[in-house]
Amino acid sequence: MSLELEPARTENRKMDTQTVEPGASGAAISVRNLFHAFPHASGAPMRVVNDVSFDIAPGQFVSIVGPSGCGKTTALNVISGLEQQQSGTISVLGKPPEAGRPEIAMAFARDALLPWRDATDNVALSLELQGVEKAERRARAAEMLKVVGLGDYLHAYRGQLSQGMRQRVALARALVTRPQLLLLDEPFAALDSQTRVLVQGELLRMLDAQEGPVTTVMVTHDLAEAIALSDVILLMSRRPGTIRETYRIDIPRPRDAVALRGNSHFNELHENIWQTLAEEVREV
Amino acid sequence: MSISTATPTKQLSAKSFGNSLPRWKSPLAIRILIIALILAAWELSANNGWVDPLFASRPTDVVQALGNILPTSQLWADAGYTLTEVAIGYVIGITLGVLIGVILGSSRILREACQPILNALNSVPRIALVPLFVAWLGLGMGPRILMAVTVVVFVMVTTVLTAMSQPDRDSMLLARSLGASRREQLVKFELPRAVPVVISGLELALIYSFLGVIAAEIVSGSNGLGSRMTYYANLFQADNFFAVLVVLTAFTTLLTAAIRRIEKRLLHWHKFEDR
Ligand SMILES: Nc1ncnc2c1ncn2[C@@H]1O[C@H](COP(=O)(O)OP(=O)(O)OP(=O)(O)O)[C@@H](O)[C@H]1O
Ligand SMILES: [Mg+2]
Repeated sequence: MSLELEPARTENRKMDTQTVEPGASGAAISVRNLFHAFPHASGAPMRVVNDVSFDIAPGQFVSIVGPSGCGKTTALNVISGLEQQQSGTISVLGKPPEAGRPEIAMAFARDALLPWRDATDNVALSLELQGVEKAERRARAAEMLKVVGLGDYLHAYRGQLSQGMRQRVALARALVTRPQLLLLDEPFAALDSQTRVLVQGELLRMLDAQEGPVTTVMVTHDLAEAIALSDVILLMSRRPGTIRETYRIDIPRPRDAVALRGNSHFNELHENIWQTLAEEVREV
Repeated sequence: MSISTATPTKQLSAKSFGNSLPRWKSPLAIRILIIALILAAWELSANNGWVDPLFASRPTDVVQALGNILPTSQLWADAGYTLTEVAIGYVIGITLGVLIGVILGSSRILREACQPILNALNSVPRIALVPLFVAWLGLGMGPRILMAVTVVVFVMVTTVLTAMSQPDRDSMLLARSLGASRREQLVKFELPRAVPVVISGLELALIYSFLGVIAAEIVSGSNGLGSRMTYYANLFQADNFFAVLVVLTAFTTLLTAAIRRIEKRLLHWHKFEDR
């Protein structure tokens, strides 16, 4: 059994960022020498992101893991344009970062559903801001909700939905615009561990249901989640965060997020990556 | 024992078991009981000479006075007069108040610049201005309406500012990530969130509109329910005075209930929210 896993282990060990996908020119996201600092409580600048570089190929699912406070959210927000870029070179789908681009969608740890809109209108919100006409956006929103198994809750309000349902609505809101790039910041963090695995499955199904390939960058604390969903995992060091390791996850697709748990290869990958992550976490 | 365990239990009982309570334990029954007790105490005090019925009247006399004045055209003319003033003052006041509130609420610099001015203006004892208002606008509806406006405006400005000063960080982040313009942020994210608070402000503003109008009526002029109350008070007709007060309270209560009903319709989503 250990023999069988030997090749996988070497293959998943420490790859140079360039080997993720040769040729940065065709990359969906290319980040070069990104630094970022925030004013510390004392007033002095505190470096949060430290010389981060990576490329992400179109259609790939990439997770960024690392200890709390290491700059994952900051890096993602700079890429999304929500946070002003301070240095380095970034190309996102061929353009510099800018918030609110229609071909990019985001989802966060908290669902941010608007309580005065029902599920359909919450999902339709992203289309509404893109100027999609009412009947069409409603139809597309309803369709998306059915994909995530909320066909019976089209007109439910936030207060009537469970956490897991709310997060599925939030993911539907992100994907209903048929984005080319999906940026996720701990999208499952608010869910209990069982619901989390179920909603991860929903996300994979939603991504499969999309017409074109969707590139996804997900920030997460949860290594198991990163392995279950990703093609590539970027492991960041503790603050100031830099990319310490890059792992390619060779589990074939389509994947079953639920069945994966307990799979021996999955466990092996988890153990392998956890060794390094634990070092970073422990030294915080 | 702690608050955190007490709260859900309370909600649970209010939501799912509220209908199975025995009838006499309903809020309405308790309310009627309290009112009955107060009226009984009042009646008893007057009958036993603990208070002078000439000045304090008594419930049975008030009912009788109501029976006398309700059919008079004079009362309805006064009521119509007062209600017109209240309505005009209310509409002008909330329009101005919401307008100013939204402008200040969406510009931080303006808000910081104007807040001290507003606070100072709001602390002016308005009732003292009535003679001045009369000098400007004569003895008709004018000064009363103006009075209502000066009170209602501040209620609404404060309400709107409070409502808008608690932006939801999550939905603002969402708005930016979805590329909402400043105007869309306001219209689709901030204002709807402000609506519940603003509606409760509308309710308060209605009561304040009555307050402003009646106060001005008491001080000046001879039309309207406030003037009528002054008239009866000066004649030591406490029965009639209280009868008019009952009519006035009935109007305020009815109109407030109407606003509550509209609120329920408009905020059908609000009952699902736990916060
Ligand atoms: N707007 C800000 N102003 C000042 N400091 C900030 C700001 N945002 C983040 N920081 C700091 O930057 C560091 C990195 O924050 P960031 O949110 O990127 O971490 P993270 O890796 O996403 O952590 P977590 O996993 O806990 O979400 C933290 O030390 C945080 O205190
Ligand atoms: Mg974070």
